[in-house]
Amino acid sequence: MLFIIGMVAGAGLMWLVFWLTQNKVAVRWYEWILGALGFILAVWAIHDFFASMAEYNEAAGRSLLWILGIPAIILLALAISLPWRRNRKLKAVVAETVK
Amino acid sequence: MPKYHSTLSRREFLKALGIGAAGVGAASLGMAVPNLVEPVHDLDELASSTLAVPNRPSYVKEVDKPTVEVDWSVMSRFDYHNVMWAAGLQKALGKTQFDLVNAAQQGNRLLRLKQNKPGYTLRDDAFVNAFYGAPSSYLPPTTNSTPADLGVPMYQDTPENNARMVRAFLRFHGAAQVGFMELDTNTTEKLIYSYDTGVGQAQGPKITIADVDQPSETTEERIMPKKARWVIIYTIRMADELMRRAPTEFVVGPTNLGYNLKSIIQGQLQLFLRGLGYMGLGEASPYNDLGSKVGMGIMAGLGEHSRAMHIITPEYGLRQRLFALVTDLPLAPGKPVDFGVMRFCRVCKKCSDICPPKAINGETEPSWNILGDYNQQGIKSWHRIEPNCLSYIRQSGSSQGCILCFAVCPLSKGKNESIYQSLIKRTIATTPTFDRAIRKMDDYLGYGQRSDPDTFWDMDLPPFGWD
Repeated sequence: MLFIIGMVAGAGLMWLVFWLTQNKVAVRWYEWILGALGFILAVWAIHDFFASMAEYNEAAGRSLLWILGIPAIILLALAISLPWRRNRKLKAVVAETVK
Repeated sequence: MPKYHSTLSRREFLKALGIGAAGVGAASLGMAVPNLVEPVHDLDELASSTLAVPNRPSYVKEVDKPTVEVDWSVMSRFDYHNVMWAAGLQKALGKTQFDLVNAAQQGNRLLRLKQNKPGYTLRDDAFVNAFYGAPSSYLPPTTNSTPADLGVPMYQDTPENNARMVRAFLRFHGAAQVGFMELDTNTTEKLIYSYDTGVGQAQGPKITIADVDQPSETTEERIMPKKARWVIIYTIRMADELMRRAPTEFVVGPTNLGYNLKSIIQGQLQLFLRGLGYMGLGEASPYNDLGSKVGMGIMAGLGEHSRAMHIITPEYGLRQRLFALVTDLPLAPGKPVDFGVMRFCRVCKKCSDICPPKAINGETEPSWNILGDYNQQGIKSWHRIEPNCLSYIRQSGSSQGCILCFAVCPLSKGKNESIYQSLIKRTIATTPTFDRAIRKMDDYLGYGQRSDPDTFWDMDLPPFGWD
């Protein structure tokens, strides 16, 4: 499972960097950290959910999923929304200046 | 000493592959990726058996003295007659009370059978009582050839190589962990019982350690030659899913299976040692004989002493049975280990909290004071009120088992595939500040005892219930 996660993460990171460069989206250092933390927590939540289910610890699996999963979603949402909102504002200012 | 590494487990291999795969993506972006996989140095390493190398997590530290305090000058060889399963319960309760407890066992067993109570139904009862009881003996069987029979010299190698050889042999035959201890007259020899008895036996033979060439036994005495200075301690796993069904009949299944497997493994080990030209002095019954296996396991470095007065190993917590065999084959002894158990037990107390008859001591600090002849002197421990334990087991109507302590211990968690559990073990070993929080989280996450024992019959468990 960690092999597949590693493959997807590596490919996803590559695609993300290309996409950000192509679309000239500026991402600040702390937004990368927020994203990385969110991603790690999300992987941890999913991994431990399936691991706990495989060990017949269903209650622990469900609890770990939300204990780790909710902070993961919040961090990932912040990591996506902060640059998106800033770049939306920036684009609006650039468009205004060009006019 | 040649070192045959096999440092990579399946899980670590997959982890490394995962990191490696992420590295492929990252490297394409020009990032430096550290080499996280240890290289294989030579073909010997590649070809060596992983079974011969104990692969312990880095937080398990070897120490010079066991984490439980032992006063060897006070300790003397323990008389196994005083153990509850032998003659101890009757001695502690008195004949009248003892007979009442036994009558309650049979009465409650029948009552629960008639009530069809989950965990005590007829099929559960039959499951537990399907105990075959393979033969087990102090002296080795004599069905194979010795080097003398073949006219060749006996096997000779270094104690380190011998230890690795015995470990590989035992792992192949089903042992989970293997450790070695050297007998010293003033210390570890006191872990050999003074009297040996089987379960339910009122009188057993004396064990005499003497300067003789060959071992022997009669109904009154077992002679152990002084030259047999090494003890092989090995464990057999207990199926997690059955242990979690404590305190019902199911928990007896892994215990019985352990005893049966031990009898087979012990016989094979005795024959193996005989084939090499050495003696293998085993446990005379399928049950617990010869010496204190918990003490031996701790001295050999298999695990640490715990509040439940059993050994907790880094791999399986409380969920294994220990067995021992004495030999004159020189073996490199292990060292005691520290991975935070004694510290954690001071704070956790989950086994004590949940113990129905309150047999497990709930004091924070361990004590030198023993509670009766059934406790071993010279150990600073949380001495158990042993009669409470077996009386409860008998009165609860179960054939032989409660083992709730094994079910609920936060350090006993089966496969431990989750990252959370790995972190917890590492934290317990290194950062005692979080011990209380770890106990609370363990309660919250609902680990331990199951409330649906009957689901066992619908499960597709691996052979022996192990992963």
